[in-house]
Amino acid sequence: MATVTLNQAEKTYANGYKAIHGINLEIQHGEFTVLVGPSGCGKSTLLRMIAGLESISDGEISIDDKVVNKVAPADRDIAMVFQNYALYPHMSNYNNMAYGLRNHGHSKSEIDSKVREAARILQLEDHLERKPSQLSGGQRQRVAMGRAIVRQPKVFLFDEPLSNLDAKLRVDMRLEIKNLQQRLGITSVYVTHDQVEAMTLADRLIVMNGGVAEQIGSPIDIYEKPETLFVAGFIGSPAMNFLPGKVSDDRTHVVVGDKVKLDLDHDVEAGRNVTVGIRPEHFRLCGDDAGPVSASVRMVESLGAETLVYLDFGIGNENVTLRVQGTHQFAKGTVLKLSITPDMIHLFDTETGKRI
Amino acid sequence: MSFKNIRREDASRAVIVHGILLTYTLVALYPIFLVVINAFKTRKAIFRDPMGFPNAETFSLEGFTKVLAKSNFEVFFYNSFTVTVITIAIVLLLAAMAAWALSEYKFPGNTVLALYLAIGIMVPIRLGSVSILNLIVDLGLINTLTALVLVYVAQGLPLAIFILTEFMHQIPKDLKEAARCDGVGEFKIFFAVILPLIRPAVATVAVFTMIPIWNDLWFPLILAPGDGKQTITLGVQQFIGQYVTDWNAVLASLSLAIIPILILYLIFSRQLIRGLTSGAVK
Repeated sequence: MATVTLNQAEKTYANGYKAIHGINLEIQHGEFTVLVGPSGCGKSTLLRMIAGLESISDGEISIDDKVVNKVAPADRDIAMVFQNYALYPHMSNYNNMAYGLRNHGHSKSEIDSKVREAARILQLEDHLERKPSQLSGGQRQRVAMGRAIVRQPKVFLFDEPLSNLDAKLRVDMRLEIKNLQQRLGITSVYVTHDQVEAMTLADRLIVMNGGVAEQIGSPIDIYEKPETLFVAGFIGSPAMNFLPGKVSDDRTHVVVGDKVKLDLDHDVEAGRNVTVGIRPEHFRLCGDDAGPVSASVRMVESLGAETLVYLDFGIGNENVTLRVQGTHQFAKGTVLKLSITPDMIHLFDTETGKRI
Repeated sequence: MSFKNIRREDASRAVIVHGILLTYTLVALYPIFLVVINAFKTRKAIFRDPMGFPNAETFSLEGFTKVLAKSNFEVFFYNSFTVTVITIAIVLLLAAMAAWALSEYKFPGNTVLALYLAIGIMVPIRLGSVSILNLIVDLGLINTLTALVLVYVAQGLPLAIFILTEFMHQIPKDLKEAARCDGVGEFKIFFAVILPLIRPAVATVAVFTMIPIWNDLWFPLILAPGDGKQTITLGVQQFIGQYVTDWNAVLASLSLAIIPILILYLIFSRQLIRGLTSGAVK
């Protein structure tokens, strides 16, 4: 177990491009930290900086209070799981797992017992003598994880380990990773662009955008109180609806478009232009009762357990997404009555994108 | 367009492509075929019916007996084989290491160095024959196999480095990084992880390097023409006279000379077909 500390860590490439802008972060013993963000946001770069595969331009990264800026990856006591597995194709799965231990000079019997133990945990016992090419994607990823756990490193680093797997396998492996990490209690840093993975795996979530940590917090905190428009839009699926609005003169509601009025309990000055954020799941269908909002149906997607309805709020071509439980058949053009409780409304400053 | 039509178009294209390739193969192999069948015929039969197969009447091994009994065939053979094998080994090792450095490490002058090496592909080494001869004489290496090996290494390196660099670029970056995280040193990464992965490329380069060396007449002629140092292509020349050529012996020795290169080719070509990176990454 170990702590990982980032102190103003920066990465500037030789061509002057600044990929990481001064990130501060303290990862506790045994904590599962997830870096999430769109492609190109610097999350992988940051992970590779922790691994030692990418140099650190400025600031410090420490593992267990020891600054590792100049330490080679092999000496940082980390193990990394790569997106495309990166197994040695010419070695058997057994040797793939044993290779790192051999290079660290462990005895043969010790290596054998560790590899067999890892294979047992990962249910790979029957595949040890085969080559990686003879395994399915999920099994290969398990071998890659086995290679990481036999080393019993201080820190696990995962670089989008599930993105090459099909949807069902991804869910299974996600549970396996979480289970394994909790059992072994090893500090982990996990990079993903998939916000479902991020929400389910993380003890602490770091939402990155353009080389900056936009928000750091527990997944539920980030879901409930996104600090910026970017975080609000990125976390949650389907994404949060953003509507341009203006606070009414009496400050009791916000006006969206021409006709929609939403009750407010925020403390905002009158007449201010704001961006209103409402999650699709936070609208309530009011049946025949007159709800405060009425909107016509543009399109319906039935997912079985839930239905996504795309509504016309009268603000140009933009759809507003509504998510309701169960199966519903709405004809195009049907007018729905909706309500929303004021504490489910997020307000953001239109200029700065910051939460109000 | 329906699927049927697409399939028909594919089929006709396949017929055309295979037709062209087959024709080329026949044209290329026919002289070798003639060499081999005539090596087993009497001298008269060679001239009377050069295209015919040897039959009970015309079959003769006189060429082979002459070659094996009257000349130093084993010596020529040994010389050619030694020069070829040692050259291949040196070229492969040096080229692979250079290619690894050029593709993996970023250092000032990387591109310039790669270009400089590539120029060697475009400039035929024979243009430098005179200065090479002078150099070898000054080094006191004339009439040695070492001279041939040195020249052939220089001749083989540029193309080998060029091909291997391209292959090295295709090795997934993650694989090297996984090895680095596993605590593998750079030398070991090269020998234990990278080299096994580029075996097909190494085999390709081996074939490209081997054939011109085995077939070369020029450098053995100017650098090592002395007794006991001749290679097989040079050795065969003793049967070719200004007035009389001993065709039985020439054809027999040429037939024999095909065998080792064929064996080497078979060894390497098994590797050529094998795609070894499968399973490394998705």
